Amino acid sequence: MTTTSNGVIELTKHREDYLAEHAVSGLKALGFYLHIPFCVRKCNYCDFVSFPGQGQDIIDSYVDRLCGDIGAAGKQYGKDYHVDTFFLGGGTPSLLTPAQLGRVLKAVNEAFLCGCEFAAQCGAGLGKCDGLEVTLESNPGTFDKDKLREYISLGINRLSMGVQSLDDGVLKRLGRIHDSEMALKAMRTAKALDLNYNVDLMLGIPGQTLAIWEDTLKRVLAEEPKHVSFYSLQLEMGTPFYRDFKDGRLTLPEWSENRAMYHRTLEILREAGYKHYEISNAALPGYECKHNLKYWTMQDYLGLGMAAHSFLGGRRCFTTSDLKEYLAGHAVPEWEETDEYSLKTDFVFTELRLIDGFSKQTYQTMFGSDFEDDFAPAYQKLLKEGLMEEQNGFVRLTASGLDQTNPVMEALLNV
Amino acid sequence: MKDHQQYIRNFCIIAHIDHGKSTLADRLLENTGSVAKRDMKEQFLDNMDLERERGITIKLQTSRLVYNAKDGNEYIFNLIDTPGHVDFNYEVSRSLAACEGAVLIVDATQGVEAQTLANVYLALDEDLEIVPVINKIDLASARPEEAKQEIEDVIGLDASDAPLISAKEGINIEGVLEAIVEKVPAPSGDPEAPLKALIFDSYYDNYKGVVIYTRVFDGALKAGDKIKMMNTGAVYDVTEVGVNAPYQTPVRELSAGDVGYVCASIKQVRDARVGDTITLADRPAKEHLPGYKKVQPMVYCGIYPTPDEKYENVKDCLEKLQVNDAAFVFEPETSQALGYGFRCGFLGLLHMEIIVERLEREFDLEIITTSPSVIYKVVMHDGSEVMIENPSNLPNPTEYDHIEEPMVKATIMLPKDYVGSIMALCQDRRGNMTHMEYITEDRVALHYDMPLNEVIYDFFDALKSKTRGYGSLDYEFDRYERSQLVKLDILLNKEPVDAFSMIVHESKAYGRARFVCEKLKEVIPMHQFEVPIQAAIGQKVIARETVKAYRKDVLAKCYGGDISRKKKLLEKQKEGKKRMRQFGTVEVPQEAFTAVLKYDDNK
Repeated sequence: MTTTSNGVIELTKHREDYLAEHAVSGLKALGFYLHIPFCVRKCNYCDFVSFPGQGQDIIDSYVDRLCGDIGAAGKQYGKDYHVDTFFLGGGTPSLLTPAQLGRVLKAVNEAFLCGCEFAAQCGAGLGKCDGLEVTLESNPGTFDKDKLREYISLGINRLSMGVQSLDDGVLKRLGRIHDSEMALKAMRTAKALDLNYNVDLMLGIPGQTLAIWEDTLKRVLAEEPKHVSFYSLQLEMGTPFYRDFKDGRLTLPEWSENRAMYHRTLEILREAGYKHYEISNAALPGYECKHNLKYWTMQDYLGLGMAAHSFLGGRRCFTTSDLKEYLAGHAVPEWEETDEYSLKTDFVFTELRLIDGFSKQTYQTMFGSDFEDDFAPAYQKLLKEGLMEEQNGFVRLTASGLDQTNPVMEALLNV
Repeated sequence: MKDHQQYIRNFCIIAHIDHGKSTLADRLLENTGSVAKRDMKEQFLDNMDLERERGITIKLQTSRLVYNAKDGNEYIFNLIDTPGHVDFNYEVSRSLAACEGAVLIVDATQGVEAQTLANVYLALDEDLEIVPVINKIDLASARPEEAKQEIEDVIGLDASDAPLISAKEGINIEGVLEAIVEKVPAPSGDPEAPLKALIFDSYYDNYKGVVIYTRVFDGALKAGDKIKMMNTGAVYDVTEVGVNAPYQTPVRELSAGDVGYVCASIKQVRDARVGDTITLADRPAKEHLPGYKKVQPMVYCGIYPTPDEKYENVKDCLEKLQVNDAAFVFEPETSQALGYGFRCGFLGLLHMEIIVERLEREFDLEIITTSPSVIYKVVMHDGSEVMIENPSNLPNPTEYDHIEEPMVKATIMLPKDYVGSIMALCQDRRGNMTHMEYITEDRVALHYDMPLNEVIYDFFDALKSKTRGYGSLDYEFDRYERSQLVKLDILLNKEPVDAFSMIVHESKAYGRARFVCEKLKEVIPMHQFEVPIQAAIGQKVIARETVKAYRKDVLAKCYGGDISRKKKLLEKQKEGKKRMRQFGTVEVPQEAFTAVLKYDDNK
């Protein structure tokens, strides 16, 4: 690791010690992310790096390039890591044909030891180890039972579905390619194959009322997904929604209504037996997304493909968002400068997303300094305002803190 | 010695932008074997990337070619390429003064243009022999006979035997070479007389110092000579003299009639100003060559580092550019909104754009440029005069008697179909037509008396747009004139942002105010609170827009790729806001500064 100050050397040592404790047979655990930047059509709110309506030839050459990158990454990191979570995100990765997906997964399996913490002993591999989480993001309308069955045989054991809503008016406004019937069918298909699946939902959408939202949520829960993500719609610059709202052509539900939807969600989920574990995520016990948890607990992850981000050895890097540049093979990951301050704020910024928060002891172990010392006086002020709380050595957001994550983070990040 | 001069031809090429000047220059080099085909980049003489990209020549490049003519003699051609834009008129006039002849290229599809005409008149002022050439005859729309007729009608030159060529296709290049031998007079001048050499260009070289391009009129010049600049009085020791053939090649001496380069360990281009006369320190000429003048900037703007850029970096780069550009000036200034920066002076808008682009591309600087402004003359109650280059420095209206603004004489040439819309445009820009003439049946020249501040505000873009690119413009400074001018201030969230202040004519204030507010509304992103955008004259608000509030209290999604980006959005003054500038509580993207200047086609 390149150091930017003495603080970082010291810091890295602490962090490496921490990770070594969790390493098995000398191999550290690695989350593996692959970005598939293709979709059928761009939704009205979407600012992800994704290219609609690309031909199979483009997707094929993308997969070629990706496999090359996976091989190269294996040479660079394969000695130190075993892959224990795997996530194909997008875009719409379910646009990949089983053959394309097969090539990608094979490349990963060849480049890295894949499996749970005992992988080093049993030499597992994709599709052979239950402890290995392999998620594919998908959209209703892009797969059927046969395709899903093939995906499963290739090693996919978790499906994340962009359902967003079960109200056809809302779906249309969002610019989704599917209607509620297709969404229900998609969930039932996954369920019929006994596949662990997550449903992505969106609240605070133009034209959506609390009643519409509740109806969507309850009908989704009736399909018994293991995991639910519920996002408050964000207007991102450059999207049709942003422009329409700014020009007065689009009205969002009042902020109080948006929060009411969120609060009601938490109640309904709790009643249904789900555990709310991250700001926008809940799961049946034991079905939390292991891969996503890595993002929120400072674990190492490697992202390949265009616009993918990595966090390795305390440093972050990202790859170009330019498709042409990526396909031409000119994409060189760009490493960000890291210093002690930014690692500490990364920690707070990510771990506070967890409903249980983080342990002050972990902070102490990882950085060799005290959280309260580092974040006073902002932390004291937030405690007083009732936006944060502390219990049994754990620091977390309060219920009202969850409604104001941005102001809370802003206070902590600018100490 | 007379033999030496007999076989020299010093000439330049006059053409409108895009009419093929650089292409013809390349063909001449190629056809005389001066540059091997494989070494040819597209347009050899335009050696700045920027020039090649824009298809215009900014800096002069001189080349020496050897041509074996049909008469059996070997001729030395000194081709002095000239810039093709109104901003660089003075440089053009000095390079013309170094020649005996000029090749006039007229595009067979377009005819004579305003800029060409302006340069032809400059050439005639210098008594040059004009050699007309009709280019682009390979194009289907070529009308060579009409082009010839235009040359005869408009300029009064006999164009009957003008070579018909295609520089692009290499057709009849020999015809041009022969016409130069025949028509351009050989140089005269006394090689034994005291040295008189004209500086017509100079540039800074990291190893050699300033390299001067010169035309020797009398006497001779060699390495070891002690030279004196007759206008600035500075004295230097010559370290090298040579010719561009087309790469720099040292020679023993340059004598009367020759064109070449001189190095003398000079540190700044401003110490070897274009138009100055070089003589020998110990045997000086009695008087210098005519025509020297120190060029003055006409247009000013502020250049500021972005929050991520260092002031010192910007200063270093401005200094580096100045070493190479005697016409570019700058001095430190401070803006409440933008902090420490520089007020920079340019010959014109193109000159400004070039400098800004070079700062961004060659030097990789992150800068903000403010609205360009002309220099206003503020006459105080006691009769004293203050020159204002920055609108925010305009004194309080109670403190001065009146303001005067620079006026220019503008010539616009265009196809007659567009006369109506351009007259409307000029009228809208407070222009007074002095006269109008038909150059040919289809082409018209409009002569206007116009405020410079209207010309620098997107006039050229509007002209090009309304004439589909066929209109051309030339202007020169005429005088200062009293005018009803007011200062327009822009307020964001009730706070004035000095960098947006501008001086406008009273009659235009409302229109501009509305336009700027609308543009800013488009580019300023939504904040957690409503952002009022106001335009005011003094205390009086004359236009207002509001950027809606968008409440963003929660961050719903945060996965691997979001962490750095979203965290930085919450961290004040960090990257992520790179292209943003904070004014009070309002974030303004950099593009806002240029957006308020852009010509709006829909208006």
